[in-house]
Amino acid sequence: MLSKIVEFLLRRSEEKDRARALEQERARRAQSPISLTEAHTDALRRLDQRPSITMGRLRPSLVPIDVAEEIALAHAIVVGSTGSGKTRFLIGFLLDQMARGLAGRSSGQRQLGFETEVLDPKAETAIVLQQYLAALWLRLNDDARETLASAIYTIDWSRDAITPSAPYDNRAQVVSDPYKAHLITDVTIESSRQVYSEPLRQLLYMWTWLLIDLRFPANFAFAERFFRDEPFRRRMLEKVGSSDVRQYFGAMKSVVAEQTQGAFLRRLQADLSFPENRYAVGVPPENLDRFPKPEDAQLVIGNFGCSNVLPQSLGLSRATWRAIAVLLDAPRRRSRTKKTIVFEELALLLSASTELMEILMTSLRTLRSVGVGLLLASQDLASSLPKNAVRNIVLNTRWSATFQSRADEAELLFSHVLADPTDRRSPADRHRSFLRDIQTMPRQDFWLTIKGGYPALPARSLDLPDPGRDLHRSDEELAEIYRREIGRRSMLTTKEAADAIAAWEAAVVAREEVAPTKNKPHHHTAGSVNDLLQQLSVPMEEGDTSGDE
Amino acid sequence: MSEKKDSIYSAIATVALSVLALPVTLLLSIPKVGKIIRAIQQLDDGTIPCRFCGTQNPAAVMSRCSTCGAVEPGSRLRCSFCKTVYQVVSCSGCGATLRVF
Repeated sequence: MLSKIVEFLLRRSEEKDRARALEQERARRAQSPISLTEAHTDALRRLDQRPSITMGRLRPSLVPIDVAEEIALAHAIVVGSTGSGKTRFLIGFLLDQMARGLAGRSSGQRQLGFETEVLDPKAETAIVLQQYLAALWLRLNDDARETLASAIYTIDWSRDAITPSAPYDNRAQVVSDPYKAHLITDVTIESSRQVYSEPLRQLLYMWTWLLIDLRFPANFAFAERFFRDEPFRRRMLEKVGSSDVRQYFGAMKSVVAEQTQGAFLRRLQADLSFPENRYAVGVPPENLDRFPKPEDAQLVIGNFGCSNVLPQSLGLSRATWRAIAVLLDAPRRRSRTKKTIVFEELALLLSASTELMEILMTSLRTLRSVGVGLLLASQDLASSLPKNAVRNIVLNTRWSATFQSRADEAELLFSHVLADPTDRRSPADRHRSFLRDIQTMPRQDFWLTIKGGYPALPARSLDLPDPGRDLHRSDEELAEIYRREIGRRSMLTTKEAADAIAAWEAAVVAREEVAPTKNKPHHHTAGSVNDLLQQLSVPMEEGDTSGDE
Repeated sequence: MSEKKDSIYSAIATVALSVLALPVTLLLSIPKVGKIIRAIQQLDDGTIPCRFCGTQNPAAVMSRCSTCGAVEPGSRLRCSFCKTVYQVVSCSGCGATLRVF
C-alpha cells in the first residue's frame, strides 16, 4: 500500500521532478571548476597522515608538503639533470628520517626506527651526505653521538682505509654458489672495458665458483700458484666441495689453453694491482666474522665513486655486486622497520649489468610486501633505459619527483598536471609550454606526482644550508670528522688490510712446501731438431746433444 | 427469519469488533503514516539527506534506471519507462545506500 501511495505521489509530481532535474543539471554545469589552489590544498590535506615525512614545499605558497610515511617510503623515482637539486632533495629526505629517528628514541636506545642503504656509484651524494652527518654528529650530546655513529656503516675506499667486502663469501646462502659465481662473473665482465672470449669467461666463472666454495679472497699469489703448480692445485682441489669445480680444474690442462690461463692471470693482476681494490676484496672472509656488518646498520652509505683513484669499472662492479646482494637479501628480512634502498645514478648502475636490471625489475614487483621501498634516482630515465624497464618502473613506483629534466620525463608527468581553469590557451599550447618550462625549471623546484588520485604538485625542495656554515667548519674538516668518528668503525686501515692479506698468503699460499716448479722452456716452439726430439721424449744418441751448435 | 437475524447479528458483531480494533489499528499504522509523511516531505523538498555523512542528495537528477537502462531527467525513485519504483538511493557523498521509504 505504501509503495502504491508513493508511486501515486511520484506520478503526480513527474513534471515537477523533471523540471527540478534539468535545473540541477544546468546548475552543475554552470558551477565554476575548482581552482588550482583548492585542488592542491585538498591534495595536501589528504596526503598528511601521521606519521609523515616532509618532502618539500608547495609552490608558490611554500606550505610544507607532509606525505604519509606509508606513501613516502614506497618505491619512487627522482629524476633531474645535473645541478637541478636532486642530490640535495635525497639528502634532505634521508636527514629527515635520521633526525626523526634520533628525536624519537629514548636515552640509551640504539635503534632509530628506520633502515636505509644508499648506493652511489658517482660518490657525490655519499660525500655530501657524510658531511651533513658529521655536522649532525657535532651538534649532538655524547649518547646521541654514539647512537648515530653506531647506526651507520660506511662502504668506501681511500688510500688510507678501505671497507672490506669479501665478495666471495656465500655463507648466508641467499643464492647458490654457482648462481653467485655467475652473477659476479656477469658483473665483472659487463663493467669491464676489456673483451672476454668464451674460454676466458668460463675460466672466470669457474675461478669465482672455486673461491666461493673455498671461502677464499681474491688473491693473485694464490691464483698464480694454483695455475702454475700442479701438486698445489691438486691439494687445493681436494678441499673443494663442488665436483664440477674439481672436475674442471682437474682437467685444466686439456680444457684451458695456456694462453687463456696467461690472459686470465694478467687481468686478475691488473685488477688487483690497485691497492685500494686489492685490500677491499683481498681481506679473508674469516677475518671479518667479528667485524661490523652492513646488515646490522640502520644507514649504509656506499660510496663507490673512483674519481682519480681507480678505474670506473672497478667501482661500478663493486656497486653492482652490492646492489645485487642487497636486493637478493631483501625478501629474507624479518624486520618490521621499513627499509629504503636508494639507487643513485640508476642508469649508470644498470648499464653495468643486465642481471641487475632483471633483479631490480623483479624487486620492484615483490619487495613491497616485505616493507622495502626502492628510491631510484637518475639524471635521465626515459631515454637511458629500455622501454620495458621504464614502463615497469613507472608502473611499480608510488611517487616521483621530477626536477629540471628533458622533454621525455615531462611527457610522463604532463597527464597528472592540473590545468588552470583561468588559462585560456589550447591544450596543445599548454602542453608545449609545460615541456619548455620543465627543461628550464630553477634549481630546487620540482613536480611531485603521487599515485592514488592526487594531482601533480608544483614543489620546492627544503632548503639545506651548507653543513658546516653555523659550525664554522669547512667541508674538508667535516669529511675528516666523518672518517675519524663514524666511517672508521666499518673500515680497516690499509696497513691492517695488508697485514691480514699477508698472513693469509703465508698460511695458505706459502705454507705447503712443495718443490718449486721448474721454469721450463717454452714447449711450443723448438729451436732445433734436437729440441724437438727432446720435447717429444725421443732418446738421442750420445754426442748428439751439442750437435746443433 | 432466523437466517436474517443471524446476518444482522453478524454485521453488528463485525462493526463492534471493528470499533474495538480501531484503536489498535490506528496505533499500528502510526509508523507507516510517519513513513508516508516523511516520504512526501522528502519528495516535496527535492532532497534526500544522508544520515551517515549529512550530504543533501538531490531527489531529481539526470539518472539511469538500473532495471531498463533508460536515462532521463526526473525523480531517482521512479522510472517513467518501465514504471519501476525504487525504495533506496545511493548517497553521492559517501556511497551509502539510503532507504527512502
